[in-house]
Amino acid sequence: MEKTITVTVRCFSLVSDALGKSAFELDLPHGATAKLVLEKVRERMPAELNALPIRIAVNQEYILGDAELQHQDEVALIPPVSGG
Amino acid sequence: MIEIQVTTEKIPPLQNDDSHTADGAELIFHGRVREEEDGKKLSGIFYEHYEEMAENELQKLAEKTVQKFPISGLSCVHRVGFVQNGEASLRVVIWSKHRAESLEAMAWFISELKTHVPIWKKAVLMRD
Repeated sequence: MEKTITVTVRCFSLVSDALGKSAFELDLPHGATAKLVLEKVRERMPAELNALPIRIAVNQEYILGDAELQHQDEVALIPPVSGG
Repeated sequence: MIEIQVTTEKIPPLQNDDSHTADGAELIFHGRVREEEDGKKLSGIFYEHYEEMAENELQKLAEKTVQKFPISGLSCVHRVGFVQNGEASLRVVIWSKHRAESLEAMAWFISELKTHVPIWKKAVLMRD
């Protein structure tokens, strides 16, 4: 069995502006959860965005709490929306 | 009846529709881009969206709205990409037997849209 899984991370608005990219792949240990992705991304973001609330969607569905990820999942980091 | 669309195209004028014979209320809301925001002149707003999710979230929200309120139909078109000031970025139409339920459902739908649907505004300033 592979030791890691690879997920696609999608970023939008303030998150993609801060990272300078809107999508990238991330290798994670088996059993990793969506919240781990958010923690890893926050480490790369400037400190002034520490308090920014970011929701997580896995495979285009918002998750409640946390979720264990599978290989090739798409994890979207969704800062406050402002449509309309 | 639910109709949802996310589009980069300009929202076309609404055609008159006399087929809703059971409904006494047809409530139409247009959200338009203002020319000024926080004292700055805007040429428009760029709407970024999560393409694979935005339309599905709008559809789910419309279904919830139809379940929550006694309305007979909801149509929603949301524009994405650049929208020039004065133009509509959002159109919602709700039909119901009486006006009160349409008004209430409209306020709830738009408020929820601004909380859940993955679409983001970015102001584009006017060049002098």
